[in-house]
Amino acid sequence: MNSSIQSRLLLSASLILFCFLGLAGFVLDTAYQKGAENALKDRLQIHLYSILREAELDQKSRLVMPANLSEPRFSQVYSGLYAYIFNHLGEVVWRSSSSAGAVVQTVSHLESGQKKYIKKQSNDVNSVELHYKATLENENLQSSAFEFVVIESTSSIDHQVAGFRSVLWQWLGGIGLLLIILQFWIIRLSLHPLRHIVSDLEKIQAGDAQQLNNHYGEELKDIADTVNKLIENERTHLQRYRNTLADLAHSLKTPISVLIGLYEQGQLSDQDMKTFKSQTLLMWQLVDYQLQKAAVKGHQTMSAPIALAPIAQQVLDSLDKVYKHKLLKVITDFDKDIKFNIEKGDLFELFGNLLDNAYFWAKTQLKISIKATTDSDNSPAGITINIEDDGPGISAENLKRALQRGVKIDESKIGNGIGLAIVSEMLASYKGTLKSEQSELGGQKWVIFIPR
Amino acid sequence: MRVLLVEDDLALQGQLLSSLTKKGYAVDATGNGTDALYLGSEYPIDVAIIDLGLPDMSGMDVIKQLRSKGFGFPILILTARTRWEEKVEGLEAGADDYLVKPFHTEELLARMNALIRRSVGVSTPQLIHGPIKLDTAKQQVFVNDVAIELTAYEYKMLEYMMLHSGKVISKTRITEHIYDQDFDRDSNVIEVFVGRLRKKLDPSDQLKPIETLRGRGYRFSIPLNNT
Repeated sequence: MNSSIQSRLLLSASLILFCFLGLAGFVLDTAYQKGAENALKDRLQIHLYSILREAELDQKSRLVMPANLSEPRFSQVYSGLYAYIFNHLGEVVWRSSSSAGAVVQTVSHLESGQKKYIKKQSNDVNSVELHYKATLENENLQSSAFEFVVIESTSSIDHQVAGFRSVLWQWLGGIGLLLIILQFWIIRLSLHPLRHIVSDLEKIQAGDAQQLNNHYGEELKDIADTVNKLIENERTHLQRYRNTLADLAHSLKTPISVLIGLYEQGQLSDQDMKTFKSQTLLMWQLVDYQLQKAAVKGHQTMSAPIALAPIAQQVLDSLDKVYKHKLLKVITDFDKDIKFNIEKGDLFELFGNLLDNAYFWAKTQLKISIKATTDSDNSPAGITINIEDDGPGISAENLKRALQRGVKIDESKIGNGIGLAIVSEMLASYKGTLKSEQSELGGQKWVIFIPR
Repeated sequence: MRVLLVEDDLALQGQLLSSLTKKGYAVDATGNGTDALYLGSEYPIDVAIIDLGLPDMSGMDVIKQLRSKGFGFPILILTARTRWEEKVEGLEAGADDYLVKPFHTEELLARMNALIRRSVGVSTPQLIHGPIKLDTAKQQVFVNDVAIELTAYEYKMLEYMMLHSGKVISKTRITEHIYDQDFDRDSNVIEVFVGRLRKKLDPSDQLKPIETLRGRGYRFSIPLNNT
C-alpha cells in the first residue's frame, strides 16, 4: 500500500475520523465532569441547609448543635463529608464528628447570606468546600454571625467520571475501528475498477487480451477509450513497420540475385553493365521508398491540431528558391485559420511532394488552395486541398504507374516519382483520398480530401 | 569555378572530389564544420556543397553562420534524410537547393551548374554569345554549331568568362576561381590557356571574343558587328 490512492484516501479519512472522535470524546468527557461537579455542589447545598436548620443560638448567644445530625455521614469518621462552624472571630465553634483533625480556613470578607464554593487539593484528597455566612438570632433577639462550612471529598465523583471516561473511550475506540474497517472496504470497492484496468493492461501486455473491455464505470470510460485508441495506433504502427521491413527484404531479393548472377559469370559485357546499373538503381529506389513509407506517422490519437496554411507557405517559399530560374507565378487561396489533426511531418510530406511535382512540371504558373468543407455539401466535413499546374499533365496510364511504389514518371529526375505513392499511402492512413483531374490551367490537378 | 565541398564521409568526399576536379572545378574539400566556415570565409567560393550531418556542428549551422557573415554564394545541401520537413528547414536556413543521398554525380553537377548560373543572373543552361554557344548541362562549346574540343580547364575558364561577360576579369581572379590551392599560380599559365582558347574558338581571328586589357586582365565580349 505504498503511496497508492487507496492508502492516501484511507490515511486522510482516518485522520479526519480520529480528529472527530477525539473531539467528540473530549466534549462528552468535559460535559460529564461538569455535570458531576454541579451535582456535588447541589448536594453540598442540601447538607448546608440541613445544618442551618439544626443550628440554634441559646440565651447566652452560644451556638447549640444537636449531638447527631440527620445525615449519618457527618457522624462517621472519614466519611468524606465534613462540616465546620466558625464564629465571627474565626474560631471553630462546632465540627462534625466525621472531621478528624482536618484543617479548614475561613473565608474572610464573606457577607452574610453569601455562598462560596472552593475547590481544594491537599495531599491526595480532592474536595469541594461550601462556605456560607449566616446570622443566627436567639429568643432575646440577640444575634451572632457564623460561617458554616460543608466539605465533601470529590473521590466519589472522580470515580464516577473515571468510570464514564473508560466506557466512553472504549465505545469511541470501537466505533472508530469499525468505521475505519468500513471505510477501507468502501475505498477498496470504489477503487476496484482501477485495479481491474491495471490487471487488464497486464493481460494485454502479456498478450492474453487485445483491448480494454470498457466496463470500468462512467468516470473511467474516456481513459479506457483513449488507451484503446493508443493500443490500436501502436499496433498499426508496428504492423506498418513489419510490413515495410518485409516488403523491403523481399523486394531487394530479386535485384540482389541478379547482381550475384552477374559477378558469378566473371567478365561483364556492356549489356551486363547496363543490368548492373539498372539493378542498383532499382535497389536504391526501393530503399528510398520504404524509408519514406516507414517515416509516415499516420493518424495520431492525441496530436494537437495544426494550422495548414503556414506550413504550405513554408514549403512554397522553399520551392520558390529551388525553382527560382523558372520564374513561376504561384496563386494561393488559403482559408487562413484551418487547423487539422495531422502530424506535422506528414503535412510537410504532403505539400512537399505534390508542390515539388507542380513546380517541376509547371510552365508558367501553379495554384494551391486549402478549403474547409462542412458536413452539408453532400460529403463529410473535412479539408480539401487542390494543387494544380499548367504543365503537360499526367496520362491515365502514367497516373496508375505514379501511384505505384517506386515508379518514376521522369526517369531523369532522381528521387522524384516515389513522392506520389508516399502521399497516396499517407492519405490512406488518414482515411483521405487523392484524385487526379484536368486543371483549368491546362495541366495536372491533384484534389486531396481528408475527412475530419 | 571554385567549389567548397563539405562532406564527412571520406569515401564520398574522395569520389566527389575526383569527379569535380575531372570536370575542371577547383575544389576546397573538408569533413568538418569549423574548416568549412574558414574555407567559406577565406576563399572566393562560387558554390558550396554541404552535407547536413557533420561531426562537429550541423551543416544547418554552417549555412546559417556563412549567411549571417554575409556570404551569398549558392549553397546546395546534401542530406541522407528524405523528410520534407528537413529539406524545408535547410532551405529556410539559407541553402538554395537540396539533394537527397544517394544521388548521381551528374545530377549533382547539373544542380551545381544551375546554381552557379542563377547566382550570376543567367537562367538558361545555354550561354549564347553570337556564334559561340556554351551548353553548361552537356559541358560542350559550339562555334557556329560546330562542336569545339576543350580541356576541362579551358572549358571552365571559358564558362567563367562567359558567365561574367562584359566584365574585366583579372588573372588573379581567374586563378582563384579556376584552380585549387595547390596549383602553381604562375600567370603565364593563364596566358597560355587564353591563347589556346582564342585559337580554338576563333582560328581565323575574326571574332576576337577575348579582349586583353593590359595590366588589368581579360574581358569576354563579342564585338557588336559580329552578333
